[in-house]
Amino acid sequence: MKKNTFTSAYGIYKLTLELTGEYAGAFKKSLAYFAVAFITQGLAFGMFYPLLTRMFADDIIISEVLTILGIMILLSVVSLATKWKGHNFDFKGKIVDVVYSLRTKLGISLRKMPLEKLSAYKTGDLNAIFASNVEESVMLMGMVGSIIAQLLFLPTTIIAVTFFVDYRLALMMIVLFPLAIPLYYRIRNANIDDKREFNRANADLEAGFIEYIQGLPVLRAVNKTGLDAEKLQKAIKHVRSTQTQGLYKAQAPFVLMGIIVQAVLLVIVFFGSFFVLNDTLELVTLAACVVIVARLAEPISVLVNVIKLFDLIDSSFHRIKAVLTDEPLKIHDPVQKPENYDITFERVDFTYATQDKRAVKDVSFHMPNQTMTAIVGDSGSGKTTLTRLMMRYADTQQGNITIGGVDIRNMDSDDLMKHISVVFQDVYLFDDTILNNIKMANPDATDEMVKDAAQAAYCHEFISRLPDGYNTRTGDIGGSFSGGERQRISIARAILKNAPIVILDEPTAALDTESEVAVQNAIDKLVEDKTVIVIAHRLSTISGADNILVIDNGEIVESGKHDELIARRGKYFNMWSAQQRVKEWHISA
Amino acid sequence: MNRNNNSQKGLWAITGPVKGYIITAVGMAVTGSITSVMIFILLAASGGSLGLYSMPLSFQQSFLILVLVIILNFLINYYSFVVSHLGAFKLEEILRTRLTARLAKIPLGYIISTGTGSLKKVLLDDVKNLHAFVADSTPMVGKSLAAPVASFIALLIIDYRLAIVATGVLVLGAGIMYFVMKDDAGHREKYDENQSEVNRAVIEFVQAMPVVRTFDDGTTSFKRYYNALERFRTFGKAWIAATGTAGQIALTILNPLPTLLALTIAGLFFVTQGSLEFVPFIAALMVSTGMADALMPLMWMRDFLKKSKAAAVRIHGIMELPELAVSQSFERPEKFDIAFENVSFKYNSQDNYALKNVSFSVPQDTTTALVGPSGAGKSTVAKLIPRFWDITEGTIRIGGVDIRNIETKTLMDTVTFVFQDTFLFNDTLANNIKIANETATNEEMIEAARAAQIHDFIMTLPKGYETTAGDRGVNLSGGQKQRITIARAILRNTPVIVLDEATAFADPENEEEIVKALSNLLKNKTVIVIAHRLSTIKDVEQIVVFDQGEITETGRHDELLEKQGTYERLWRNYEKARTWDIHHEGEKS
Repeated sequence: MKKNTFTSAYGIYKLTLELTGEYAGAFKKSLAYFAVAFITQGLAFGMFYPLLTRMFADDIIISEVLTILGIMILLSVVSLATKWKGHNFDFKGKIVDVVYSLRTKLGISLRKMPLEKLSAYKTGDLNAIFASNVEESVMLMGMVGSIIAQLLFLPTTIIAVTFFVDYRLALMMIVLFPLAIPLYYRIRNANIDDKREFNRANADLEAGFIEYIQGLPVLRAVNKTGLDAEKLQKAIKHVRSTQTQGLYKAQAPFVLMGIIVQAVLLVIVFFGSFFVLNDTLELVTLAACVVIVARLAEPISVLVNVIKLFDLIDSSFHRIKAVLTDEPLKIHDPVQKPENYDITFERVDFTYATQDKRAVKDVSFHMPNQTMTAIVGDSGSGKTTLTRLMMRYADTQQGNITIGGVDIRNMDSDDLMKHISVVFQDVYLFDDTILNNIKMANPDATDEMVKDAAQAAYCHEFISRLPDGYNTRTGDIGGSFSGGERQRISIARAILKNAPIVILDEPTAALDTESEVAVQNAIDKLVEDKTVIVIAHRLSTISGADNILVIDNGEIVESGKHDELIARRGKYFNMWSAQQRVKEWHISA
Repeated sequence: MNRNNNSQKGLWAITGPVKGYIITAVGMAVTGSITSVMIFILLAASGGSLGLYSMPLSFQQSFLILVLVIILNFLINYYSFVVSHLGAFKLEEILRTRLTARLAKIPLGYIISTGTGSLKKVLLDDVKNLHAFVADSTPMVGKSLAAPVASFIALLIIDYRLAIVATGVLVLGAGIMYFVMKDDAGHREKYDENQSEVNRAVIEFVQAMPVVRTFDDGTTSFKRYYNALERFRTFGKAWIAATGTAGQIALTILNPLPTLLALTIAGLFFVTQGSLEFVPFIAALMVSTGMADALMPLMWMRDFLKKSKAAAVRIHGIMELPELAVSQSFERPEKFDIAFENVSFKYNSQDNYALKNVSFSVPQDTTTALVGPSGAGKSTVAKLIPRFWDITEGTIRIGGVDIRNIETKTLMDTVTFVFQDTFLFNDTLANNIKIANETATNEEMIEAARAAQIHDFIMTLPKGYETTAGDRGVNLSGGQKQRITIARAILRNTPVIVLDEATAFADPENEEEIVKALSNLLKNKTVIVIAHRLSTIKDVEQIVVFDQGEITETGRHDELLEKQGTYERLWRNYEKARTWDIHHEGEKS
């Protein structure tokens, strides 16, 4: 059992050392203290052998008994003191430092993680890693350290001491404790098997809940709610039945583990009685042995509960480590800076890591400095992927992308980002003042510059009308900003950044017409003198573009100016005509 | 204080349905503790019978009883867990069934505004949390409370003086623990506050990462994140400084060594005095295990209990939501004109009225458009008709009947809110359409699909109408999903249709088909449309213009233009937005 816990414990130990980083030394030190604590505790227990023998000898020699008792007390004091020292790791704040340093490292990793990797994480997963996984695993570190040390050193010391007293008793312990190993495995495996089946049932249930909640308007209309939502009720019942199925099997080893010490005691007493009867073992020694072994009951029953914790910590650590070890995209040598801002795609192929199909196929085009290029096509055709590749969302499998003649892989990532502003459809505002939300694009900007940018983005007016003006915190009134106002703040941010390349990804798609006009004006200001890439659904918006790329299935099928494309009567023409027809549609009763 | 009280009650009230299981499990856990103590006494007794001590039972007898008691102990512990788990499974089922039934009765508006994610979390995770409470905590609590008591009683019987000594150590430990926990409570709350502040910072940092990458060289957002970490560290240290030492003391006292030492010293004294014999002493040494050690799990479980309480509060929150008021006598509307009479409405959580004194009427089989700037109240009006919310003042009538007097089922058969339910069930396309009307024949269903412009597409799928939609089925584009839900609405054929035009064109794909499908749906119906593209409503019978929750104008398109009011302004804006093309003057080359 010790050995087994040892293997999984060793893994956790290694990971712990890795993640504690600069505090690994402190953690090791605390483990060393715990080791001493439990060895001395075992020795103190061991003193029962001589103590009880002397106490119940026919004639007690008080001085001898007191000496042994003294040693026992001394060992206990050493044990308690070292244990106290060991717990300094968690009770004197080191753990807080570890949490801090781990989260800082995670933050740095996240900043540098390739965007493709980043988007592969669900937001909830990353939140969990940063927040609860760090919290759970690190806060338990001290506790776990002490438990591992206890499991390793207490039984070993006791067995070793017993060996000197009576090797047969020691042998029984050596033989019996490892019996727990198969039990331990069964617990883990039962855990895993059950979990698989249970996870499936639970996933079904989760899907069922989502379907039920989202479908409620329909389900209500057709009276299929509550008990009449048969599928959902079945899923609920199924969870219960899978749980019940696994229950009897899964609980037995747990409980058996809990009484393993009792079983060992039983065997020791059984054989011990023979030894006592044929006078090869003193009864007092047997009694002392039983008293000592009984002391192992508690740590082992703790272990049963701790196995679950081990799994928790183990998976938390692995998830944290995965984030920490994610390699940022490599900057190729020599590192260069672009002189101008024309963008060229040369025979670019790209496939997302999670997909088999190529998202971009053999795409080549050139955007001269300070021109506007529009990308149009059906949703899912690869428009956004192209803009992502310009920002080095991920590296292409084939071909290269250059800005001002410099391959973007040769550009420092901060430098690359410095050249590009993006206006997204969804706007993210920090829970901070409006001033800081705009200013983040250029921390050196003066308040005047911020106001100028806001003016250019047509948001100065409504900001000034707020009671606290630019110092209004967005969190306080976040909800009461309209979509258009949020979008204009984000454009002010982009104007202040003044990057030579501007990417517009359907910036007005989610707006109502009232705010659209203001946002449109703001965009007109933003794109002055810039190299502009715009993704737009409404083709009239981009009819003035210097070049229009029509994308279908990851390929450029047409390109040219609006008039040329209309004259060609191809895909662009079809899209244009359909939009013209829809424009004319109106509801008539 | 009050809230705390509530949550205490909450946990008990909510586990009410499985109280029998809980009581049985706790009872068994208590019995288990008693048998554990008996095992130690029997061990000492069987040892004693080997020697010269006068024991009531022979070694064989006591050993046999020992074996039986250990088996009994195993069975009791085993079934205690089995029972508590069975109770937990049952509780999950009961709570989920009740919650889903509840969701069907509360205002749909609540469900929509709360969101699928949060509701699912309650149904899935919070319920799971209570499972853990019932399954694991209740037997543990039983054990932790019973073990010290049983051990104490056993010690009393063995030797009252040793009982006093052991209790003394325990009281000291418990006293310190009480001190630790008491001191803890205030800090704890502050800790939680800090904790959620860090979590907020984490979420912000993770979610804003795309924006951070483009707009921030790492100084602003990173600083915010760091600052939150820094504050958490400072606080954490202060917290530990205040409570850490006390925690360390508790861990030291609750170690087996102090009790054992105290008993040994006392025992030695009594033995030399001649007032304590071998067997009782050995028994006392073993039994004392149950005293201090048993308290440890209680310390561990506090966090756990808190989580369960929070979960219980959230579950109660849903259970206690008011149902939509149901009238005593239902009426069935014969006609389908709609009338708003002095309707005022505010959302539960807000002070301001979302609608103020709104009156208008929609004659049967005509179309009325609701227009206005965002937040003016037009979507609120639309949501009140199918009773997503109940109004605060006034009356809404369909065919002269107050909608509160129309049975839910009847109301649902009268009004369809298109696009509130673009959700497709994880079922065949045929069933997804047919759910609207179970008695419909296949021909009628196909007819509806045709009218919704989706039949041709469905026929191109290998499995046609038998294709499964949703997670495990074919991936449909947003536009295709919308048309399937239009087919559903066509098959439902309710006399009143409420349409949100903004969501209708949320997916820009296949606009033309959607337009055709909508035209078919709206034929010969009483229609209320929330309009954004003002061109679509040029010909409708009535346009109602909203601003800040009030009606400012009513009339036809031409009449409203002449009035030069809100509508005229909206129209001008609309025209401008529609004809915008990005004004880009960058090219210098």
